[in-house]
Amino acid sequence: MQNKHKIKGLKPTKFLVFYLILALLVLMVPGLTYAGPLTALSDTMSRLRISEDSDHTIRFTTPTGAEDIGDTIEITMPTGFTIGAVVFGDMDLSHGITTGYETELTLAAAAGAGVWGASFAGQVLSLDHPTDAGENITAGNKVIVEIGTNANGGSNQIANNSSADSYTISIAGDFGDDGKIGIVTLTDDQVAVSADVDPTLTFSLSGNSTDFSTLSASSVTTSTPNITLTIGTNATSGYTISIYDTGDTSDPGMKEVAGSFMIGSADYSYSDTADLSSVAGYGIQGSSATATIDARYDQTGDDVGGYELTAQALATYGSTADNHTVLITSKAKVTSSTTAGSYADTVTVIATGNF
Amino acid sequence: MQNKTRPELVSGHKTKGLKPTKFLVFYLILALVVLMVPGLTYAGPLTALSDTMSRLKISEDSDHTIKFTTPTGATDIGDTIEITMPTGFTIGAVVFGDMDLSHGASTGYETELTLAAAAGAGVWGASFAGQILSLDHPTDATGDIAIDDKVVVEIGTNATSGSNQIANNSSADSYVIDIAGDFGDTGQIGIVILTDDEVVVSTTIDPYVTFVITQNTVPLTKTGGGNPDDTNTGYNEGSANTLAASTNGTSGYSISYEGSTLENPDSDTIDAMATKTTSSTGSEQFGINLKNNATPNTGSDPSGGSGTPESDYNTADEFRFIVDTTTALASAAAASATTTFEVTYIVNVAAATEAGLYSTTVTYICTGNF
Repeated sequence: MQNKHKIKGLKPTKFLVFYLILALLVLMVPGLTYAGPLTALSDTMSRLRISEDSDHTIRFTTPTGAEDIGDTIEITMPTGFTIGAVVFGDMDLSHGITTGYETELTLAAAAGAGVWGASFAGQVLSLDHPTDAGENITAGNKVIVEIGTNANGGSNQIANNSSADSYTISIAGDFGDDGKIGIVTLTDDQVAVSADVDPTLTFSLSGNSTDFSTLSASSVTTSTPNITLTIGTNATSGYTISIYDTGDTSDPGMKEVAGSFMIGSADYSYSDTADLSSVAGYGIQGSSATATIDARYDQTGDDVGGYELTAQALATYGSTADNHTVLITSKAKVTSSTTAGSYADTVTVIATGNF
Repeated sequence: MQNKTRPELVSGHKTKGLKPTKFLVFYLILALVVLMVPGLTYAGPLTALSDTMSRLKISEDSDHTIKFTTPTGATDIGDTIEITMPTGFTIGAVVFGDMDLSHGASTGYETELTLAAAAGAGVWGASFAGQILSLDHPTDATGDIAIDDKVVVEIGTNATSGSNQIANNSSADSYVIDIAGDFGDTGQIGIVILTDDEVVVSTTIDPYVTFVITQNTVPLTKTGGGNPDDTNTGYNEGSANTLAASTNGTSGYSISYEGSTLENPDSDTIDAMATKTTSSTGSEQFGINLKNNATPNTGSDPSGGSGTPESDYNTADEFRFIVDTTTALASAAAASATTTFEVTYIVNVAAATEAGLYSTTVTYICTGNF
């Protein structure tokens, strides 16, 4: 046995036995672990902007745990981060073997029986083991400390440093482990994204002419083809389609081309609507799967709405529209005394977006 | 008068019974013989001696690279070069296999000699007896070390197949290696042993994470400028928004985003892309990715470091945006130099999408995982 390993008054054999017993004690005493560096450390913040209030979700795995009365976990926030009014009610402390959220611990301003103390003194958050043997944080557990509105019942947050930089959070305390976490603050952590959508209105007619061919005094004739209006708009109040005709410029209706006789609209008395099964006249029916057809033109069968020389609402819709269609069906009937000849009318449709 | 010393003759150089003239002739002939006989040289002091050790710490095993230049060489059968290591240096199990012997005119490494425990034909003997290493000339006329050659003796793991080393003395001091032997030359080398020959250098690097956002305002316009419409995608054509992150965290970093979809002052919204999909005009879409896209032609792939986008944001021409939920966007699995991600934002609108100025604020978070 070398002299340098010899304990005064202890023979070499006894010295070896002393060493072996010490080693066995270290290995065999249940739960005996060593303090060491924390692992898997992180702090997820809700905001990185300078001077902005932010939540903190601090995670770490403790090789030692906090299993003894008097154990304290101390988390030191970097200088310049304003703790403000953050108290135990703004914090959650949990631990567990898998996620760290398995066991939620009860917090109070100071440690008590079954209650962990959680309070800031300056920049240092002290998490103090209960005054009894309950609610230990087991060795090897993941630990999560939530500070701010992310904690149950939390309302106060820690304000970020006013300078954009990297900072260090230190974790230590007499539970034995220690570690550090890097965090960063930015001048601005947000991106404002914008897009401007221009107002649009699209409108088209399926054709620009329709023909009754030869009108009858005994039955109602429908012109061909029907005219389909297609309209789209991103106007938030939708659209209005209105319609009018030229007539003889004094009254609405189809005018004799070579003369002045009129097939009145909607009848020879220029009523708003007419039932052509019983009177002669000329008018239209409007229909649509989406738009609201004005009552004048919301007709079926032999009923028609009459034109006016001024624009009359044909169809309306109260919101944005993507390729809505409105069908115009033109019908007419003459009397036996209607002057023979060619008749014509010019109808104008107007689409208005209501932005 | 007979007892007077003759002034022209120095008595110390007088050979008994030899007259001065004959004495001079004898000297001259001797000088000519010395100069003219080929290969005739003198034994003398070794030059350029050194021993480079691999460790100087007390009691530590160390390699030795012993170098010297021999004015005589070892050119004869029976020549022996003896290297005596200082007392207290433990030779241990060092044998010929733990040594290399070479020589040459320039570096000393030109000719590697074959070694064995004892000299043989074409083989040098190399063995320790106590502290003395004997290097014995082959038993035939081969393997000579020429006059004025540099000689290199390597002992330890620096030898080609060496595994055993000489342990240093257990006391810190200066020591002398002697080189002699009947090859004729002699010399000494000083070496030194220290209590500790190493310096433990340490520093503490704090954990850090860096994160830089460029372009905090991003208008979305169609190609060439102008507002997007139902046939033209809007994107951040002229304003590259980049996120640059680095950390020394052993588990890297995580970047997440959180924000609502685009909304106008009337609370009309543009639908966000709830699943990863391509840009399609004529329908409402709002999404982001971190790639070099062709449709629309914008963005760039991440550069630098080891950070990578999450899968939903790592396919060119496909975009996604999860509304009002903190969502993982990119990460690095280990410590990483700066990775720069360029965020592409796209918007598509339907013909019926309400007109107006739509906007949202996206908040980015970077967390170091230490």
